[in-house]
Amino acid sequence: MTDTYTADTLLAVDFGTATTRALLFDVVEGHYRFLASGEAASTLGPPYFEASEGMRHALNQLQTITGRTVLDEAAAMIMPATADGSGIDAFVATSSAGPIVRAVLVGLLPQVSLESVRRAADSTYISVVETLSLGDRRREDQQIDAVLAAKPHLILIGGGTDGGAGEALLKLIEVIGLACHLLPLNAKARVLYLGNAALQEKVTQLLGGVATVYIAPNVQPELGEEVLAPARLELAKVFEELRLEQIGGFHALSSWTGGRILPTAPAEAQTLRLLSRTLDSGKSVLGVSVGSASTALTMAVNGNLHLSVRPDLGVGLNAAEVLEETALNDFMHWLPFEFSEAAARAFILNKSLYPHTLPMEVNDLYLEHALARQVIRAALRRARTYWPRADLLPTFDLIVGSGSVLGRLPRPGAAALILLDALQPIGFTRLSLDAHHLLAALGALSYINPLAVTQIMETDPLVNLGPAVSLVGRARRGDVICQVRLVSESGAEAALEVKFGSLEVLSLPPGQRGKLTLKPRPGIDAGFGPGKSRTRDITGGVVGVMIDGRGRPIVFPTNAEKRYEAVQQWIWKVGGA
Amino acid sequence: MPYIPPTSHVTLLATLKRERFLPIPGKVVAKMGQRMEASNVVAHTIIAHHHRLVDIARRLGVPNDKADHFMVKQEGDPVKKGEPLAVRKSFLNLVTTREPSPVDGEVVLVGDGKVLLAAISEPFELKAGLPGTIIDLVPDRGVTIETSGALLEGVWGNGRDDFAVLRALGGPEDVLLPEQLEMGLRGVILAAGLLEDKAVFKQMLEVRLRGLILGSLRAELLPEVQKLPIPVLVTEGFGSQGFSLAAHTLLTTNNGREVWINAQAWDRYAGKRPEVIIPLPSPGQSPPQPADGQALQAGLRVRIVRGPRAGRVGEVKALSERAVLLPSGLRTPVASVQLDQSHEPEVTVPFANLEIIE
Repeated sequence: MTDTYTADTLLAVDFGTATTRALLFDVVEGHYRFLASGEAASTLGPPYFEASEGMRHALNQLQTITGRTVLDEAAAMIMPATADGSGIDAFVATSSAGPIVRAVLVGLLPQVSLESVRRAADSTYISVVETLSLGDRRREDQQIDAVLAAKPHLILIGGGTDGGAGEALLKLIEVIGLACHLLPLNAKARVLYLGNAALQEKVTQLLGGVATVYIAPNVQPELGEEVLAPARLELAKVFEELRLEQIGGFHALSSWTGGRILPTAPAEAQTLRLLSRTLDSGKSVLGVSVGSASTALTMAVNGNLHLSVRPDLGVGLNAAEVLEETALNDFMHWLPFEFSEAAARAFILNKSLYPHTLPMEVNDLYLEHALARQVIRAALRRARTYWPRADLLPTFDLIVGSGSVLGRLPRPGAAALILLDALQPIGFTRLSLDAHHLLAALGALSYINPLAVTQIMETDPLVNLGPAVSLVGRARRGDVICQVRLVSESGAEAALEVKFGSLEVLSLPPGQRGKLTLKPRPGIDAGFGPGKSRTRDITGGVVGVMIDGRGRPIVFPTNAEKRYEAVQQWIWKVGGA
Repeated sequence: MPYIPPTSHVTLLATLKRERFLPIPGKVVAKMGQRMEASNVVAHTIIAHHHRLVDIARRLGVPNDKADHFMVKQEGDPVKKGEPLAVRKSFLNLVTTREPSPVDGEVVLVGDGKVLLAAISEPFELKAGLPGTIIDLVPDRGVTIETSGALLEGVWGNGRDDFAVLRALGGPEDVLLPEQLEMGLRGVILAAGLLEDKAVFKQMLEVRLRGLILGSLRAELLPEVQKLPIPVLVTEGFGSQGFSLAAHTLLTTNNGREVWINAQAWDRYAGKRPEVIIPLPSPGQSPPQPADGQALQAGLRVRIVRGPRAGRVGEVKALSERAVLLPSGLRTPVASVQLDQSHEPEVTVPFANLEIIE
């Protein structure tokens, strides 16, 4: 990207499947600040087939909001900024949009190297359509046909420790070579090799004539050691190259951005990683980004990243995938009113046909929220391979939600409830919302202007929804499971009894500090161990302090009428309607 | 800042250009300027059904680097099942070992002691699909065909296409019933408002329908419709809304004409939608191509695509100047729309829930 460490006015544009957003940053009183954003419908498809058109529409809106001129009379970007304050000094771009990228993964052992290759692939918008490994019982020619049927854009090959034996891997590479030979000339695949370093030259020699070969450091250099970061970086570059070819206008745009248009999810993950390094209250962050076509879950712990991107699952274009991966009955559970399964199925399918549409009525909004919950839960199932217990989410100090479906909600309580319902965190956590879609922008900016990112993050640009305490354990619905007392720094006191099955909210305005005392009954864990009481310092948020006593997983009343009532209560409690 | 909604074409007469390309390179047999009928072949190619890898060296018991010496078939050679690929004679020619081809097909690669064969049964023929004139030709890949006619764009298709006579049944919201599928409908492409009963499937195949155009489809039937051997195209969506009046009028006024139903999947990045094309003569000047990318404004015909009025068509009467608070709590710009054949006052619809009908 552009080397502009001294740049003042920064523009970040994110190209989503449905929406293109432009964010403007500038120096105000000696510090970088986020100024405003503009958005418009993306124009990657017909009739434009030109990404920059949607960007210009978003920039026009940005100009209207800020009163600053970014485009000249010919609608071209003014760069660098001029003395009269027009234009920008640096421009970064991210994108989560684009046609499906099909990938074939190759590894030696299915549970070892193939799994590492899959984890590398999970870091960006790749759909894995075929895998080959030593565990594959198919004949070599059947494997060749499987690769051909997959029509891969990308082939990722891993396997073997550095300097280890390579014969078995070379046999699989031979199959890939034959398949690549048979692919049509206009459909040549890109091969990223991230296996035994000793074979790198041989791989280039074997596949160089039939595919474009890229080499990355081994994802498993030694037995039992997994190193994904360098491979992910290389994969991101290969992916970006592919997107420059696939999306109209990206080539021209990349000349403004130093040749790069970063995938959105890794850019967001970069910001979450920075957050996990700088958090006052803790070091583990979970990011949930829900888009029209894709969903990404990022776990950042002490600067280490686990990123799981689902390019086939979203709340718009790829909403229909929810029907494949989750039970329709679970979708219905989130609704506070009676709704038929047939109508629910039709709603989800129609959302994938008309992804840009908006809910007019409240019940329609609830349907959209139910869809968002199910999308996140489906994405969570894949990401669970990254953490130790499959039944419970690990404790996260901070959970950040992003994406249109969360960011544009009329009431922040609704976003908080979607996060609580879909993720079902445990113990103490803080919920935040990336309402201005800053994560991707800051991640991309961090490569060219880390100072700007640090200063902007110091302004706490995320919407602080508030702390949430999730009580884990079983009880009968209506039983008191925890005594809660909140004393704010202003001296105000509030106390309540949390009953099993309820969700309670105590008021504590954003930024105001307080002391929260939790006394759970035996067998109930408020984050300190079953039955253990404690007082914690907390800071308020726009929703307040949320105490979730609904169980993990959430226990719904079996009677439909009572379930509608309970769900409606939860929505009202968080101010979600 | 103008808002540009998606456009859905329900066009009575336009000049239409459609690409017909082979999935892999082959031979284009159509000529520039040639007039094509729907069933004419424009290009053909060889698509391997599957591949077979034969380890010649191991079968003949020779080292990999010596196996080429015994090959009797080379790259590009056609081969019949049972025909020898390699022959090895023993010392003094007493014993002859032949390695036969396991398939009919072609030798693709020879090397390192192995032979890769492509099993080929029938050549793949690409038909014109719709009648028209070849106006562009890409050697080895395919052609662009131009025709004039009506265009009806859909929202979902099961990936098949066919060309046959159209028969429109019932009103826009009428359900297709099994008893309506009589033998008189043999070989037609049927248009019906709704499909709700899977009992229709068996009957459809018995009367040998060539295609089905639906206003809407019951969502639970989707997996079965996907597997049907005939093209099925949905114009509005899933549920029970049926055809929009505009779509229904277009289909009924062309009842009895030949139509091309191309139930391809909706690919938003490639700009390909499921569509029905009804070739029509255009005496005199060619009609214009379908317009796209118009800004939303008063006077335009629009279709509502979400909410209880989904599928209804009307005319935009006014646009809000700024975002308006919806009952859902969202703020967004809205349009006032007067619905067709409705005594309702104008309805308020978010811009995002409208498509231009062109």
